[in-house]
Amino acid sequence: MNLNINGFLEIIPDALTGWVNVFAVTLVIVAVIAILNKACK
Amino acid sequence: MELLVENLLLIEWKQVIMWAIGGILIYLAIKKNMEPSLLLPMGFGAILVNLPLSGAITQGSEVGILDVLFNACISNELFPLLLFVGIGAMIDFTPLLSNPKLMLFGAAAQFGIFFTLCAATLLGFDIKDAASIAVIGAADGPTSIFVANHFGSQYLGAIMVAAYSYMALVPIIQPPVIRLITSKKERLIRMEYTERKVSKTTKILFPILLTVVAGLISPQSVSLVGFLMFGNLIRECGVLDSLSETAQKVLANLVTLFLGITVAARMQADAFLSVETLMILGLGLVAFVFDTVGGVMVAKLLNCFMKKKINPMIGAAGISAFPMSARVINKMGLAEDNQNFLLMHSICVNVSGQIASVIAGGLILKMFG
Repeated sequence: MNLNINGFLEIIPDALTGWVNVFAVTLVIVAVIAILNKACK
Repeated sequence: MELLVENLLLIEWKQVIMWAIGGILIYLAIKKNMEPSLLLPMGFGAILVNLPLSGAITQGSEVGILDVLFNACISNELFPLLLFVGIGAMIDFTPLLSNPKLMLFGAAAQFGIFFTLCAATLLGFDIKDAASIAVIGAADGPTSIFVANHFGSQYLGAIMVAAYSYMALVPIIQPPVIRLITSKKERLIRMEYTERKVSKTTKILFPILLTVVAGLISPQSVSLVGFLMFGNLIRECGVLDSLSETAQKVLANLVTLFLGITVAARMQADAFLSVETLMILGLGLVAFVFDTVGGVMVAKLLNCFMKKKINPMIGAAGISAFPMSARVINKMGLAEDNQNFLLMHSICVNVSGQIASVIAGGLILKMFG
């Protein structure tokens, strides 16, 4: 089995960015919910 | 007589192994009650497509019915999306809407997807296959199928077997991982639960706004999020009760009925029995383990800054396997302290995981599509 070390090293920043992006989108959704909760009591 | 036995001579050893695998899936579905609605059709389908010259799949110019179903309902992503309408109609987002901060753990527990993406790349899978395999960590069958199919992954059958098997194994996979990375003191943390009232308008606007937000950020994922939220809007609008009931029961059951057996079209021995399949099963486990680690570790990190401490175990409920993961966390809390009720918190995190997993799938599509 050939390990793809170069591909692995190249993908790490993309993977981290992906995870951070999930947090970013989630934070936007949290903000939307907070606004909804305030606006529609 | 020769006519009757000539097909017997065509049986290959690989096909016999696939019958055994099909038998194991059926056994797990019936005896162990592991995702029976998917594993049983897949197990039966694995036997069906691995009979010599099976007419269920295309042989030369003779088109097989499972290939017809696959091309009509899975390769165009119809089945996973229809299933999402049913799932959306089943989910009550009220706990999440009343406590949105806990949604962060849903995002945290997608860590396994991105960790597995790196691991699969290291093992030599090309980027699209690696991304498809990584989405097993979404712990969300339709999202896994959608992404793998979108990328045209040749490993769809193995990915589905891994995704649904590990979802059923959440009660076995998560507890040892959680115990390993939390102290007894942390597991004993009690959390108060106060449910805020959520207005009907909020419940109706939430699916619409979430679709808009997801669509603007990641247009590739808008059909995933959109169909999930469409189902939820039908549920919450209050004027489509019969449609909501149909989506939850009839539609979801009908799609599920054909989904497993149709995916089995991609479980033919030559394609399925490979080292790559074993690696995918291993990577699927890695994805679930690191989802759990991600959720718990982010909760521990937040505890460094918060006055009111969070029981880090609830972070593990951020995987999408609903409601199994929430039940596992509640059970673990009660095992440490019989007055430590974590069910509502973990349900909230678990529901968040369902949204976050779809978002993660959409972002993976955007990044590598």
